[in-house]
Amino acid sequence: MKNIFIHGIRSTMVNTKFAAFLILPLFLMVEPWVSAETKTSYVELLKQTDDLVNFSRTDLSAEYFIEKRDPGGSISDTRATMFRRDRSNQFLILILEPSIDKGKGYLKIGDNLWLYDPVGKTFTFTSAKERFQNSSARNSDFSKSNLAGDYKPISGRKEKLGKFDCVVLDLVATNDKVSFPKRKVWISEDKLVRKIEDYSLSDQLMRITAIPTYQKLEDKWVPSYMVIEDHLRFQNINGKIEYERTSIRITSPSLEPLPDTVYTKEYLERVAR
Amino acid sequence: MLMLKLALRNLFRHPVKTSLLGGLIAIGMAVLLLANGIFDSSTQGLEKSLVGSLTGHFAVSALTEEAYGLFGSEVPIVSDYESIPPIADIKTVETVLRSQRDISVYTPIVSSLADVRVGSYSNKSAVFGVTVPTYFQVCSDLTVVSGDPESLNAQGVFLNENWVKNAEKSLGRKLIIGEDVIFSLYQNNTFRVRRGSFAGIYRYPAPSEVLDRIVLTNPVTVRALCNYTLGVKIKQARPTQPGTSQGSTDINDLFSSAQDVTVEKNSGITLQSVEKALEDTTQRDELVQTDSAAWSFVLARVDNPRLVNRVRNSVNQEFEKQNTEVRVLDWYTAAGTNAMMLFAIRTAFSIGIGFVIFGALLVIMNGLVISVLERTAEIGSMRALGAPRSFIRNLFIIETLLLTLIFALLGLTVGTLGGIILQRVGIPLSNPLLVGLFGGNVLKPHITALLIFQHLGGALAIGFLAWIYPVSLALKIPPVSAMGDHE
Repeated sequence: MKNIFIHGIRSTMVNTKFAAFLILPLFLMVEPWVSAETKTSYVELLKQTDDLVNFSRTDLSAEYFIEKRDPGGSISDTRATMFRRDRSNQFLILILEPSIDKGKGYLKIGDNLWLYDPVGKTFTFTSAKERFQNSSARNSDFSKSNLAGDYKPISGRKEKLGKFDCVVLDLVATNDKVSFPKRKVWISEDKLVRKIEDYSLSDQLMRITAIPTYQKLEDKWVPSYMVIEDHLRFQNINGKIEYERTSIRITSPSLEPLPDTVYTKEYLERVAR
Repeated sequence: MLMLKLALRNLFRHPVKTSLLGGLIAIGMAVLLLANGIFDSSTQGLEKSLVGSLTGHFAVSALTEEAYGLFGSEVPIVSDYESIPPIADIKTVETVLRSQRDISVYTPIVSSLADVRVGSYSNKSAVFGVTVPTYFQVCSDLTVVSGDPESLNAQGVFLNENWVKNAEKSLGRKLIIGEDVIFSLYQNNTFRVRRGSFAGIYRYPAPSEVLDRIVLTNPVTVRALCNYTLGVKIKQARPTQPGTSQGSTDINDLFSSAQDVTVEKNSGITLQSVEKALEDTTQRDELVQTDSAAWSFVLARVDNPRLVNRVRNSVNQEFEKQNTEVRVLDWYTAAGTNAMMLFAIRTAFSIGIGFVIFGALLVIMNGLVISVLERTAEIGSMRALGAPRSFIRNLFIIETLLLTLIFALLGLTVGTLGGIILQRVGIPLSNPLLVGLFGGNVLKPHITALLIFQHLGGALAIGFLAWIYPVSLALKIPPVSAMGDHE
């Protein structure tokens, strides 16, 4: 497409009107801004980004501290442990605090997300698109990253984000399993996603996720600190809009291999008494 | 007697005019009687469908700033579900209700919304934790289709007929007694899941979309769902978190001094440490204990429905005297926004019908007025022959009353016959809003002798008033002028 465009320019007469007449339909035949090669490189970039944060050969365990701050100030905290196996797309989250929720678990097996309440000794299931503990985080946020598989880039540009030089990609979903149909991602030069803006189909900004710091574990990266701002939940406080904000600190990551039984309902029932 | 003969003769002397006017009166009366009959039956139906199967004659709830009905908050804001606050002093409430001799029975309930699942079918439902047998005594119009209500005390779950129908249609099979019913509620940054077992089916006399959402089970399960637990009262320590949280910082400011780190391979969390941390559940077990004295509402039934207002006021005064922080709700407030919305729509409907009736009455009165004004020459002639004003006036009174009486009776007869036919046949309703509006899925007018007499009285009152203006006008015109107009 690019070559046709250049050839078309060279072979026209000098007359600009004629040139414009020739150029315009060619221009309209091509998707604006992005050439095929550029798109391919963006897809490659997404694959590299996914690869840096996915653990296909081993399990990942870590401790999560989740602080949810409502507009107006009320704060709720959760301490949880997450075990993740990316090669089979499974994870297990166990709530450790607050005490009243101790032992509650989220278990992802296939496309189903099971919730376990140890007091009622009962499972129920929900969608990965639902909120985690009613915070701004979604259950799908704890799965492995699959930006390259779930989205396609439609445009990109360079932009500075704090101290990071980033490529900003506009993405649209390629399936309806994802939580958000449109996203904008800021990828820093080290190929790590630093910021994500999630949009609805009507381009309403729904959520902003910031990942300012990562922690390197062997040759992979795990977010160290994340802040998620929910643009659907807000209040006007003294003339200023305050959004619900969830901060997540991820500590003590480990690549210790885990038994297969960890990702089963039986294990969850046993360990969460 | 002479005046009666004259009045009758005048009526029959103008048969077309008399028939037209009389026909209007007859049709108006017939339609009015049927419409009021239907509204009367719908009022009874709505009251029956809610008082006898949902709310009792009145309900007692906690005194709160926000209004709560049986289905939760009445504030129409889209936000997280807020549990209904429990009644603080249930003992005093029960003592007061017991002291009222006109209250035949009362029953406490716990109410919560939850996702109720059987197999792969789930439905957002209103879950009531009820006590047996008092709940079925207060809501005596409920029919138990199958199962033993006593099983509600042992984690049994009773589903209403339409809930079961929808579930079976979705699942493609019949529900099995004893199969799991899962309740789950996501609220305040956490979730709670409890289990019951399907124990029976009950039916509402006038099902509606509102009532179809209700599921009955034991109070302990519902208390756990809506967090009527000791954990609510005990303040828990916040988890210790590494680092400081970013309060109101602009999100982009986080990137100005961010620094990635490297972690050692073997310094992370282990499965054993997590399992050990989960071993001690002493504090959790204490916090999740349900408060056995926590109830959302107490529903009461009065022996004589005519005394409901008096009993409710008496109960309210007693609570005020004892400084009990409760609110006494009449049945339609207890039924919540859904019922009040139905009432509002019905009221709007009634006002609309009222305007139509008023317009019809004006047309009838106009007809009477015109018929009097057309006889100005006749009035002039009678006065010229020596008839006093009182004679003219009385003659027209009797004429108008006769006309109104004869054709009103005819209209009421037709209306009553129509009502009897509709009582037998009924007008079927399928639209859920109309079913809820009229308190049932078959519309049947309720025509009583009192209603007929009320309509007859109304017709006579109109007939008595209709002649005043035109006759007084006609009497003001000098006889010579009146007779001259005719020529």
